[in-house]
Amino acid sequence: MWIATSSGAQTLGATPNATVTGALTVNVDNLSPATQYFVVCRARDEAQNRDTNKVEKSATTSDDATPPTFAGIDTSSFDETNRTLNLTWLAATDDRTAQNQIVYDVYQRVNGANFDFTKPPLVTSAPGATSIDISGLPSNATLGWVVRARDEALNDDNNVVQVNGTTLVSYALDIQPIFSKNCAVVGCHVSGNPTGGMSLSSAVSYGNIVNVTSSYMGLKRIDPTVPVDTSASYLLRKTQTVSAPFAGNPMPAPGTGNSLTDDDKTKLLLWVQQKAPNN
Amino acid sequence: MKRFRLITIGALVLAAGCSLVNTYDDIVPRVEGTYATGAEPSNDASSPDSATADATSDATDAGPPGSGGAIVVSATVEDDAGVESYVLSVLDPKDGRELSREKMVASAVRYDGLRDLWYIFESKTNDFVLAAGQPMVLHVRSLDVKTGAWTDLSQTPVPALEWYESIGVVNQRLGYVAYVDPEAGTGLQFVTINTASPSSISVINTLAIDINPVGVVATRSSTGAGGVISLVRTGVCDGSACPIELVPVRFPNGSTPIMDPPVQVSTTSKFAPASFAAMTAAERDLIITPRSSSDAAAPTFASTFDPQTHSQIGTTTTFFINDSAMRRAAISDCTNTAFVIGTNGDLFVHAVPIFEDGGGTATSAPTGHSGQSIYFEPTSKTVLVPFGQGSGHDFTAFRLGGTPDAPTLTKRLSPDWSPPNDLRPVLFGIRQPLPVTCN
Repeated sequence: MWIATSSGAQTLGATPNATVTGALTVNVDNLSPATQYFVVCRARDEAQNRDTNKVEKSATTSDDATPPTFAGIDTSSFDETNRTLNLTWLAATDDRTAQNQIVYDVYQRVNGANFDFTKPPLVTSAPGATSIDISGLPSNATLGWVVRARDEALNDDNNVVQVNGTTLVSYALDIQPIFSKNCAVVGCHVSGNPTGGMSLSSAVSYGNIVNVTSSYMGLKRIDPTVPVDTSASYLLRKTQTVSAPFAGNPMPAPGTGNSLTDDDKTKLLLWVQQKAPNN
Repeated sequence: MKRFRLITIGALVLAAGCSLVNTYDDIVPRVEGTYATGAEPSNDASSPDSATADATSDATDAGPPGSGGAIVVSATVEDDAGVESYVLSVLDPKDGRELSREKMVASAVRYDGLRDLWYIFESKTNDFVLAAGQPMVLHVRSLDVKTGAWTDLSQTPVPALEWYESIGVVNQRLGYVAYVDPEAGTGLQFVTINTASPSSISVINTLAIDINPVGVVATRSSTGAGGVISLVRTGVCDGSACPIELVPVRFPNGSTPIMDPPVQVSTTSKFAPASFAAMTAAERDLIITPRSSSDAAAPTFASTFDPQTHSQIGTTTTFFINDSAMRRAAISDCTNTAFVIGTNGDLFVHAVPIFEDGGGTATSAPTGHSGQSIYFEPTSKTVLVPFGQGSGHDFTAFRLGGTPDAPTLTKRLSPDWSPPNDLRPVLFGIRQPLPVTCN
């Protein structure tokens, strides 16, 4: 996509002003206020062949270059287990946009990365809203959020008031996939006739392991009441090989041609240490 | 060596008042020479000429037509983002080439060899294993084995299948173990479906089950609807000794199923369930009793039983498998060979001759992985030992050779065996037309 401030003035042979892959829209930032722009967009394939259309569209930016006045996040309520977040703020003000038309962009950073305010926000509020509920946050992650106000001319304020939180390992997102791929496979721990009488199929696995006594050693398969002591949970003994003795094989059995990855083991251990929530 | 006591078996069958499907003329007696390498049971005549692809079928290969057999695979595939989804695929046993593929979470696949029909239990969840009350649809289909195109004859909501090995197909009836709908209580039930009209099947009976079976063995009636499906289960243990029991469910022609009291056929220990298989041509139920200890030198025992009287036939066969946890066995009806795998400790596939005198020499071949399930495909004489766990998967396959007395297993490799790399196998269904015919 090439852009110019007069018609037909795009330098079509030069490096484009913006390039997107597979997308049908593109955002162009940092335009000058009260300026008419002329745009041409061309398609390019993997072999670098470009079409030659000269279809030009034009638009004029607002003369409003003043962002809203906004203090950022006021309060927050974060549920680390269920990965939900509520943020509130005091309404922003703006010289051109009414308060009930100002929207608020929520930006998120993950695991220590910097905020990138040039990218689309995680979510945007309804116009005039002073709070937002966010669900489906990533599991087992250190997160931070900043809320910025945006007026109708697309001017953002630049506050950096942030709140932070760390989500727990998710049983549904992190643990069950380990079981489904390594354990609840045909011939092993699937419902019906599971090996050792323990099904780890998705519909029943949690109820079969947490606070359930093992068939072999009288230990609970997962004992969330003593999360730091890995020897207390038989399933950890079988999968982590941290506390002898075992009954039978470590799991997955050495002969299966398969073993848990270090990442799998870490998630399992962390989940138990976090008291094995059903999240 | 002695042949099967065919006359004796026939007398027992007549005495039981139920003639079973396969005439004894179909059975190839034990021979001493190497058997032919051509097709085992002939099956080209029963291929549906008029089969057409249903709307969901998607033939993926415009290459040469299939060879006549069929391996139907419930499998998963992974997209570029690493997200798994289930598919139903049809493979040509000749070389493993895929004939068709469609999206479906198939919990089990069974073939009705008398009528060239397929029963596909489709899970309407994202997992092939269901819990009580979860939705399931039973498809009745025909398959064009040359193109892999399906024709859907009916789709019927049915109670959720509990276990993919507890399904038996008999004459115009299908029986399986299902969860009781939570709104009606808890526990398990044996569901009978009338399949006489493939386009309009229906549940006609349910029977309560007190102990969950490890599988079933089925024998068809040849005179009308029905047959016998025996539930194979580990009974109530007395200390460390647990009975291996058959619970026969009889399907008298035209009347409701009858569940008989359990019959003990062997003894095992807790968490060492029997392996089992129906020897269709020989009309026997095969029960394999796990070794009595974890000692690698402890023998495993294979015995056959009359499906009507449940009395043992012939001498118990002894072989060795370094595993106490086995699953359903597979059978080559034309050679009377049982194929056995262990789930954890033993990384071999075992081919065990099953003869009345207990003779023959078992053989084994390494699979390189644990045994999850096992199948025998007759047109290609292929023993299939699929594997899918963790990051690994394999359509491990062996060609059966040698003689019935001394079978051999030769691993099938590319280009002789080239199934799609992206398929991660879950469960198979194998086309085995009836009556069994052998070269």
